[in-house]
Amino acid sequence: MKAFLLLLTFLTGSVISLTTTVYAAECEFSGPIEELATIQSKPTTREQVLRELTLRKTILNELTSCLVKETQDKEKSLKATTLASPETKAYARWLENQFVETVSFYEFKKTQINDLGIEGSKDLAKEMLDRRRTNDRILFERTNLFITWNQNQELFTLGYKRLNDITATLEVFDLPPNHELGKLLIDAKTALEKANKLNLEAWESLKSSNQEGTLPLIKSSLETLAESYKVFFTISEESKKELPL
Amino acid sequence: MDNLREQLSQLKNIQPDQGFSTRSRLAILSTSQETPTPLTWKQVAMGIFEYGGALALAAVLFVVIAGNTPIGKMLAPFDAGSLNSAHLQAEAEAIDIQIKLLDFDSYEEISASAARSSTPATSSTKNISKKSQTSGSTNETSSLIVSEEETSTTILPDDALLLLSR
Repeated sequence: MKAFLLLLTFLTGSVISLTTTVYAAECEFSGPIEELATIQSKPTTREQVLRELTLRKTILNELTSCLVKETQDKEKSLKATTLASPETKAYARWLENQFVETVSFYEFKKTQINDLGIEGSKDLAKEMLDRRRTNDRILFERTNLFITWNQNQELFTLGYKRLNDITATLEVFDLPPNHELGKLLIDAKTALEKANKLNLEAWESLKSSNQEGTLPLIKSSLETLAESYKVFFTISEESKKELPL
Repeated sequence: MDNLREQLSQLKNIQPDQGFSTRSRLAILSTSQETPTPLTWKQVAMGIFEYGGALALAAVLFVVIAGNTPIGKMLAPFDAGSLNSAHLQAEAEAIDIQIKLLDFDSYEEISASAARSSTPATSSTKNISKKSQTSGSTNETSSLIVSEEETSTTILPDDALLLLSR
């Protein structure tokens, strides 16, 4: 039952992760975009210029609503994360402040749209695109990495508990020195410690300004953790053969 | 039948032997009577010591078994659940799911990046950027991907912003 719940927890987590890229209804502006592209391809008349301006304002309005919704959705997924340590709570607060600031930015820009001309709409689009590239994308990526890293901590806790439980079980049998099971136990502990070291490096990378190394470190830590479980399986099989279980 | 009834009616007239009655009375009267005596301080102290000792022993045993002491481990029932393959399998699968998710996210990121940087020309997509470039003054590539596989077309916000910035 406990094992089933564990699997369910991570499957639920995976569903949340997979749905984060789905855009909300506010992000549907393909119609005006197609019309704008059509107008831009024809010779310019006064009516077309006025229509282009209207379309630009319509799209910018929908875009800002979309970006606010997207930011708020990501913030919600961050807030739904269970945090254990004061350090992770402080990090999450830091991210939340950035989400609040991002939403404020787009909401303020939305109030300016009605007063814009065509050139002004181009400048606003550039400004928003620049912010998306230099701020939002990094914030979202950092948040995704943090949520993933935080989810992994339960796996590491379970790994250490498993090591302690197996150690306690084998101690009951008072195995002689250099027994094969004892050696396997050392291998498992070594792999687990290596995995945890990578896990802590991933956390340090997450806190740094450059996020490039974080994802590979998270992945390596999990792969090494999986290696320790392979040794646990071997211990389990060998124990059945050699011990009166 | 009448004879039996007559015999039964005579039972109430049966009397014990006079000698037996006298002996029995004397035997009963000669037995010593136990009279309740008041508790002494010594008895009270012993009682407290006995009950207190039993409670203390029970408490020590509880701490030893419930607590994580080496003696407790020896006394606790042997648990081979830590080597249970099903438990190990569930935990290992949870790790595998996380690794696969990371692979999936990485793939998605790469795919999205590739889609932005290349000009889509497949049958399942149409490229609006061609329309915008015919009248545009810039040579920068803008790839607005509209998926025809979905019921409603989807344009990414960044692509829309790029088009609006011209």
